[in-house]
Amino acid sequence: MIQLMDLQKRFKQIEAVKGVSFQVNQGEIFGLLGENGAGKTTTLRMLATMLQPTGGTALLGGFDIVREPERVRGQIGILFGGEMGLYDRLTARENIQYFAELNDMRRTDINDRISYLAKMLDMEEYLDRRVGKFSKGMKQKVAIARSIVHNPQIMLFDEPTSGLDVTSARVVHEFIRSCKDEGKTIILSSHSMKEVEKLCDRVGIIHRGSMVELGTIEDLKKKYGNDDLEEVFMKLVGDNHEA
Amino acid sequence: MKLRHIMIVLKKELKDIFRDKKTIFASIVVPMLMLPLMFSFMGYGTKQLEEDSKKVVPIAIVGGAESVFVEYLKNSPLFNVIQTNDTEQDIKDNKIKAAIYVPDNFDQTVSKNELAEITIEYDDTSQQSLNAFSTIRAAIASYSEMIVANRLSALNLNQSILQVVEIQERSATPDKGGFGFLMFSMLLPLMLTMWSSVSGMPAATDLGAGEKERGTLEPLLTTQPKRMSLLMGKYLAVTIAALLGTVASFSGFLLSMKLNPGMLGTAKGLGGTSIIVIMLTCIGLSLIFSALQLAVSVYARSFKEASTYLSPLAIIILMPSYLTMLIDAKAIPSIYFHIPLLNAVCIIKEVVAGVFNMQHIIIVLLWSLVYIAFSMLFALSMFKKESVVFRV
Ligand SMILES: Nc1ncnc2c1ncn2[C@@H]1O[C@H](COP(=O)(O)OP(=O)(O)OP(=O)(O)O)[C@@H](O)[C@H]1O
Ligand SMILES: [Mg+2]
Repeated sequence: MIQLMDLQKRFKQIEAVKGVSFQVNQGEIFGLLGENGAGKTTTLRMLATMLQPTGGTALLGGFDIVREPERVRGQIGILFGGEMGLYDRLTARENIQYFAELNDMRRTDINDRISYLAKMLDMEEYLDRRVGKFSKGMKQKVAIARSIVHNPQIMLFDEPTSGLDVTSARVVHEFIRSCKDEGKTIILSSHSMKEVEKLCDRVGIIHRGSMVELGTIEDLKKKYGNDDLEEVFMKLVGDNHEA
Repeated sequence: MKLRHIMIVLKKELKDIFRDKKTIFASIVVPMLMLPLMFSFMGYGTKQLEEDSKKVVPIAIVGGAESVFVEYLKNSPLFNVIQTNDTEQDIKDNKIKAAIYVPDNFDQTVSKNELAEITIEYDDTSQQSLNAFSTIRAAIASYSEMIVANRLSALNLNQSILQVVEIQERSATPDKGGFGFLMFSMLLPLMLTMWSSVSGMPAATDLGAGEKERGTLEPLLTTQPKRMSLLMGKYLAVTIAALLGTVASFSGFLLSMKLNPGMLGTAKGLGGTSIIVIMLTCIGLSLIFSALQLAVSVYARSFKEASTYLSPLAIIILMPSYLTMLIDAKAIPSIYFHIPLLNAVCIIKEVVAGVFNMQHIIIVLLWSLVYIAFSMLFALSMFKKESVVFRV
């Protein structure tokens, strides 16, 4: 379970996250929807303990991100979009293994887990080749395997499909669903309505660092009397673009 | 901080750094071969020059009629006298190296004990022509000496009347090898400090800024280890890379000495204690500069930015080394042993010169520990700062 309590982040002049609170239950996919600069990445970075909140806090699997960051890190897996974040000179296996070791897994467990993931993601063929020459889709799979090698209970996705083609995006979507099936607690940030509508149980719309709307997709459609979530979103955030 | 985490990071980083043949080539093979190649070329150059000076020099003689002096030059094995019409043009065209203008009444002037005048025309922009000029001067000098000897014996005087003192030289350090050793004791401290300080730079760039640029830093920071453990693993990896580079460069230096004993002297006189002091100093420098470079690299947003910041560092490192190059190892001002970097150069210099000043050695080692502690704390504080790691 994830619980944000008045989470805030201020960078020098910019107030990037202005006190956000919500809760995500186990086995649920929560969509964090917002435009560029809304504060999605900053929120997720705080949950992943990369950044320290300047106010409020959050509990992940019962651990406080401010007081027990190491315990929190053992619980989470992240898949952040854009760069895949792999070491080019290492093989796919070595990349995955490095993160497994850092997350305190035992050697035998690591080998079993990598074999299992390689089979599941259909990447056995290139498991022992260096990542440098991989296609984007292949790299994506390695990054996916790495994010769940330690079998975390909480998954954080930050625009995981940005820059991917339809096929690769589909692989990611399937992966997110399979995480849900395994009972993981998931937050997915996105600026794509379609993606959120397709995957998420509930959404929070974040605008300039504040949560402006929160609920199930059905709730939102009903509340605004509109079946097109895109229009609902535009209504909520589209009026002040000058920022 | 957990040792196990540090070792995991260290192992991975070393594997990553040295996996490529390219990196091994650039950080080990090139430093090892650079000096031997450089010195071989320099040695070849000097040899060429020496051989040139042994060759018969083509010159022209203008005037002088049938004087004894002109005959003397023509019979000298040093010169090949050539007939020309235009000396200036022929010197420019490199047909002759110089021309000698001798007055027709040269013999008469000399026999009257009067001052005779000779003009030498040469090209002062050509090394070979300059060499010819000095060869001609030497030949004229020995001819003059002959004449003076004749004049003195005509007056019934011995030639020794012209010389008051004869100087005998004797080296107080006959086992050290003279000029070659001077070169060695000047160059080695400079090179060792430079290598130990800069060799870690490529690794530091890769492990800090490189990790940001590839986007691997974010996932890395969400793994369980504390930042301190991640940083220590990286820090040790950079230090090891720096030391390997230093060892490679030093082997190259030893190899060049073997190839050109005349130019660099020999390493004799470096006993066990000297080697231990030198090694400790180099390890200290590597530890200090690896931490600083890693700190700068973590601050930079990309490879390119990191290189931009780190290149001037290499020049700053070189400055104190150059400053001390000419200082006498046996008279180093005590204050120098308290100045960072400078004290490392000086202590190596002393030890190489065979001076063991325990007080100096301890001062430098203590300071090194202080610098190491500070540079490590600096690197750690950078690595923990959000505004550095997530700089926009
Ligand atoms: N490290 C930082 N230092 C200073 N300001 C920052 C930093 N990171 C983010 N910001 C600012 O905080 C605000 C929120 O940025 P954030 O990256 O969280 O938005 P986002 O919703 O992820 O946007 P995008 O869709 O573009 O990824 C922006 O105004 C951004 O400029
Ligand atoms: Mg973002």
